[in-house]
Amino acid sequence: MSSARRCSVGDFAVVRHKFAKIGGLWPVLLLSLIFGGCHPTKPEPTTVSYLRLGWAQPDDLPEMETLLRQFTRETGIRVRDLPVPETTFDQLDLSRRLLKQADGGPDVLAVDVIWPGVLESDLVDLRHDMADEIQSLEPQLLRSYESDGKLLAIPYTVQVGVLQYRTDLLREYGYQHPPKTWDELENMAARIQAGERTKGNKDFWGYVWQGAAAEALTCNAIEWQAAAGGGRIIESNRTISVNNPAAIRSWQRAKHWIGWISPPSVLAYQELDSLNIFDKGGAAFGRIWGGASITRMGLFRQMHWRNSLAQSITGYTTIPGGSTGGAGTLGGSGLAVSQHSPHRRESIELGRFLIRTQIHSNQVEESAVVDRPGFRSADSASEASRTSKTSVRARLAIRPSGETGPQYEQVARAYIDAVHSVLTGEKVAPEAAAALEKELVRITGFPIGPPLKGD
Amino acid sequence: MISQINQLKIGPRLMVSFAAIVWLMLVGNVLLVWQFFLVSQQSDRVSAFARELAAVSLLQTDILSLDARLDLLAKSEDLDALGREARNLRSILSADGESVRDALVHLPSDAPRDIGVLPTVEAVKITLPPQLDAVIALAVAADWDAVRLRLANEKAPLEASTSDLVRNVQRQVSDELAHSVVQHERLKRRILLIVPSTALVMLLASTLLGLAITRSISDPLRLLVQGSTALARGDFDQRIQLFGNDELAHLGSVFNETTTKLRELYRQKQSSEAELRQMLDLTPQYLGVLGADGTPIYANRASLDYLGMGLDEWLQRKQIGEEIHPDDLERVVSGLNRALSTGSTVEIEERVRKGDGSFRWFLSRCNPVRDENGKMTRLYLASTDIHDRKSAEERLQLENVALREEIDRASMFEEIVGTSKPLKAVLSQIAKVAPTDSTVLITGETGTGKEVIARALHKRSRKSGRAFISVNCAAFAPTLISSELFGHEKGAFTGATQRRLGRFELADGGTIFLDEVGELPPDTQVALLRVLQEREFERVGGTQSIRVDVRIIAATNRDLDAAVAGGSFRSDLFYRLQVFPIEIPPLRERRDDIPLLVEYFIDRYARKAGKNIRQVNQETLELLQSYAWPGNIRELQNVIERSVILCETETFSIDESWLPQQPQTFLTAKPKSQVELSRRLEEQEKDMIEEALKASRGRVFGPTGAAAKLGIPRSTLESKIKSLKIDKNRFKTDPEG
Repeated sequence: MSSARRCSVGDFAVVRHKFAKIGGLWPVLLLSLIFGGCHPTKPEPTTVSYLRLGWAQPDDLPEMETLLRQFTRETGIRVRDLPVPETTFDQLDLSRRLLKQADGGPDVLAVDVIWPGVLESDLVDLRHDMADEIQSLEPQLLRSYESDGKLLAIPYTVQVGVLQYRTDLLREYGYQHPPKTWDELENMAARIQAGERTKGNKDFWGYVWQGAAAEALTCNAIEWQAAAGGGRIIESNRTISVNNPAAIRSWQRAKHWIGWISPPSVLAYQELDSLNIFDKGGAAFGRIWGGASITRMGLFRQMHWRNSLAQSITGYTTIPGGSTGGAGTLGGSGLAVSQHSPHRRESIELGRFLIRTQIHSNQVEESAVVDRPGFRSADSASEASRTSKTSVRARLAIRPSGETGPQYEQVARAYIDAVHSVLTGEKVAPEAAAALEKELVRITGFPIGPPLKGD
Repeated sequence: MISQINQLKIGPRLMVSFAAIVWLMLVGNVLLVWQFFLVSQQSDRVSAFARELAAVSLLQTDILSLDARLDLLAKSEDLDALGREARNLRSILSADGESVRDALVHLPSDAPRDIGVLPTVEAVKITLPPQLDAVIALAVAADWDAVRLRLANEKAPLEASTSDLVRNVQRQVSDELAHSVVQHERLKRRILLIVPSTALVMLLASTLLGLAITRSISDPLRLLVQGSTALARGDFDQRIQLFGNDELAHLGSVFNETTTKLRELYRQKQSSEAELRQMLDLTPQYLGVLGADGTPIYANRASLDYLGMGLDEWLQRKQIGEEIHPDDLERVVSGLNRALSTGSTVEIEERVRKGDGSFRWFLSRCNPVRDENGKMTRLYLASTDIHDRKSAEERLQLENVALREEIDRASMFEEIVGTSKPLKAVLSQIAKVAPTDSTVLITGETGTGKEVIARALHKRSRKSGRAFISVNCAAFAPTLISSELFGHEKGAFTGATQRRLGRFELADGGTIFLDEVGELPPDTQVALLRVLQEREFERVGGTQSIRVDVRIIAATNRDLDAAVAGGSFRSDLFYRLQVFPIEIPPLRERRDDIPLLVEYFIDRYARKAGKNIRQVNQETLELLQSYAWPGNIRELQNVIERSVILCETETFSIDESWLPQQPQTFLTAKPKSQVELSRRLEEQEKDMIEEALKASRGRVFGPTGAAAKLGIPRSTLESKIKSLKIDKNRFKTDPEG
C-alpha cells in the first residue's frame, strides 16, 4: 500500500548542471573566439632603433642596410635606422632631443667622439656588457669615450683629418711627393692653380677645406694650430692655451689662403662642399676625413669610397705640418646604448654585432690594404700611408672634449665663432684670440696657460 | 554553486535563473557591441594610418618638389629667388612636420608605430635648415658650382631618408590594411557566429532553465497533487519524498506529517466507526446518511435488511427515492427541501417499499448537518417503523368519523330509557339476537331510536370490542354511496385522488349499521346483497375482492314491503336483511316511559348547560304525556333541551306553545281506516315539513334548518322530503310564499 513518491530538486540540478556545462562554456568559448583574434597572434619582433652617423654619406647606406639585415637574420631583432643631420652639432641636437623623448628615442646611437661627456647622463656604461669586444680595441680610442670612469660608447669608426690631392696634377706639375708642410702646400697649390687656370679652368682652386662655421672648422683650425705649435685650445692640464702667438699665426695663415689658393666661398664650405669641389676636379688639394682601424694593431687606411672621377687620381696624405710637424684631428664615433631604451638587451646585442663586424672588417682590410687599387695608383701616397702608422698615432690633434666634458659644445662654438670671425676678416686674429680666451674662461672656469708640448 | 541554488526557495531560484538569462543576454549583446566597436576601431586605425601616410607623403613631396625648385634656381643663379624658396621650404617643412606629428599623435595608442617616423622628421627638421643655410651661404659667396653640387648631393640622403620614411609608413599602412581586411573578415564571421549562437544559447538556456524550473516546481506539485488526491480517496499511507530546502519540500514534509496524523486519526475513526456501526446495526431504527446532493453514504443493517439490499448496492444508488411510495414522494421531497433550505430538522411520515415490494409507514427524522460555512454536508436520516401505528391511526381516523357521527346520535339515545311494555318486548328481542351474528332489520318511526337499538345490539355482541360503523344511506348521493360503503381505488372516478377504504373495510371485525337502507340505489343494493351473501366485495374501481367479517344491522322507517312491491327495493335483499326484524314502538305507544325520559334528558342537558334543575313541573309532565310526539323521542329530547336552556328556575317547565296543538287533533280524530290513516299521516307530515322548509327558506340542516325546527335528524328529513316528493327548492326561490 505504501507508495512513496520521489522527486528532487536534484532533477533541476542535473539540468542546470548540463546547462552550466553549455552555458558556462559558451561565454568562454565566445570570448576566446572574439578576443583571441583581435591582435596578431604572432608577437611582433623587437625592433631596435639605431641613430647612426653617415646619413650624409649616402654611399654608406646600402652597406649598412646589408649589415643590419644580416643582424636581423641572425638574431631576429629588427633594426630601424634613423638618419642623422649632416653636422655634428645638429647630430648632437637631434640625439639630445630624441634621448629626452619618453617614447621613440633611439636605443642604439652613434656618438661623435667629442660628445660622450655631453650625453653622459643618457648613456649606459658598456664596460661589462662588451668586455669581450673591448679586448680587441685600441685603448687610446676607448679613453676618448670614457667619462667619470664609465665607458659610455665603444669606438666604432675612427676618422683622422687627412689631405687629399690630385696625383695627376702633382705629377703633371713635377711634384714627386705630396706637401709635408703648409708652406709646401701653399706653393704647390698656387702653382697648380695658376697653371690650371691658364689652361682655361677659371674656377680651379689650389686648396679646398671646411671654412663654414661648423665643428669641421674646429678640426681644420686645430690642425693648423698643431702644425704651428699653437696648442689644442684647452690643454690636457685644463688650462686655456688658445690665446698664443702660434695659434694666432696659424689662423692668419688660413685667412691668407682665402681668395688666394682657396675660394672665398670656402667660408661656407662644409665637408660635403669641399668634397664636391674636389671631386668635380675643381681643386688640387682638399682636407678630408680618413678612416682608421679601431683595432689595436689597425693600420691607417684611406676610405675614399666615392665612385667618382677623382677616385682614380686622388692621393691621400697626412695633414701638412709646420715647425713641429703636422697633425690630423681625431674624429669618428662610438656606439652607445640609451639609458632609456626599453630593449637594452637587444641594443647591446646590436652594439656587439656591429663592433665585432667592424673589427673583423678592419682586420680583413688591414691584411688586404696593399692590394687595394686606389693605393696602387698613388704609390707614393700609399707608401706614405703605410709608413705613417706611427706618425698618425703620434700626431693626432685631439679636441679638448675630454677636458671640457659637457661644456665642450659651448667651447667649440666659441672657438668656431672666433676663428670664423678671423677668416671672414670680421676680427683680427689677436683680438679674436683674446676674446675667445676670455669667453672660454667664463665657460669653463679653467685657468689660462701655455700650450703643452706633448699635446 | 548548483547545490547552493538547490537550497534556494522558489522565488530566489526564479530570480537567479532570470538573472542568469539576463546575464547571458548581456554577455551576448556586449560581445556584439564589442565586435562593432572593434570594427569601428579598425576603421579608425586604418584612417589614422592613412592620415599618417598622407602627411608623410606630403612631406616627401614638398621636400622633393622644393628641392627640385632649388636646383632650378641654383642653375639660374637667382640668389633672391633661392632665398625665398629656401624660406618657403623651411616653413612648409615645419608645417609638414607638424602634420606628421599630428597624424602620429592620432594613431591608436595600441597601433604599431614606426619608431623611425618621428626621429626622421626631427632629423629632417634639424638637418634641412642648416643645409639651406649652407646653400644660401654658398650662393651669397656666389659659388654657384658649390651650390649646385651641394643641392645635388644633399638630395640623395634626403630622398633616401624621406623615401625610407614613406616606404616604411606605406608598408605599415598596407600591413594595417591587410590586417584590417583580415580583421574585418574575422569580425564579420564572428558577428555571424555570435548572433545565431547568442540566440541559440539564449533559447537553449531559457528552455533548459524554464524546463528545469518548471520541473522543479511541477514534479513536486504533481506528487503533492497525487498524494493529496490519494489522501482524499482515503489512502493515508501516502508518502512523498521531496528533497531540497524550498517551499515544496517543506510542503512535502508537512504533507507526510499530516498523512501520518491522519492515518492515526483514521484508524481511530475506523475503529470507532466499526463500533458505532455495530451499534447502529443493532439498533431497530432505520438509519441512513446522505450527501448534500442526496447521494447515499451510509445505511445501517436494519435499513439494508428492510430494503433487501447490500450496502454496496445501496451506495450505487445515485439518489434515494425509488423506495418511497409515489404518493408520498412529493411530500418527502418538499420535506427534504425544507430541511435543506432551513437547516432545521424535519420529520416526515412516508411509506417505504420493503424488499418484497410491500410498503410500510415510517416516521423519518431528517437532520441536516452543516459545516462552519453553513454549507450542507450531510443529511442524517433516522426512520422509525410506524406502520402499525399508522394503520391503526388510519383506521382510527375513519372510525373517529363514524364515532363522531355516532356520538352525535348517542347523545340522543345513548341509553335505552324506559320500562314500558312495548320497550321491554324490544329489549327482549335485542337480548336474544345480539350475541348472534345475524343480520337485523330495525324498523320504526323516525326519532324512535333505531340506531340506539343497533348500538345496543353491537354492544351486546361478540364484536363489541371492534368498530361500530354507522352509515346513513340517505345522506349520500346515489353516486357516492357505493364508494362510501366499499371504498375506492385511486383514480376510480373524478375526485378519487387517493385510495379510500370503505365503511365495510373499516367495520371489518365489527358491526356496520346501515340506516335508511331503503334509500339505497339499485346497484348498491346488488353490492350489498353480495356482501350479505359472500362476505366479500370490491372497491370501486378495483378488481381485488376484499373479504370482511362484518355484522350488518339495517334500519328503515320506510315500508320496505311496499318498496319491494313498488320495485324500488330488491326483494332478495329485503329477505336477506329481514332475518331478524325488530320494530320499535313510537313514543305515543309508550307514554309510561315519558316521565323517565324527561328526567333523563333534563339531567343530561342541565348538566351540560351547568344548571341545577331539581324538579319537574307537574303540569309540564302532564302536558308532555298528553302530547302525541310525532317526532317521537327525538322531538321530546329537543323540546327538553330547549326548555332547559330557557329554564331560569330549579323547576323545569315548558311553554305550551312549543307543542303544536295538532297532535291533540291528531289524537282525537280517529282515522277511518288503516289506509286512510297512512294517507292522513303522510299529508300531515308533508304539511309540517313544507311549513318548516318554508320557515327555513328551503334550508334542511343547520340550527335554523327545517330538521332542527321539526326536531328530527337531517337524514330523516331528507328521507321524508324524498319520499313525500317535496320540492325543497321551491322554498329557496320563494322565501315569502
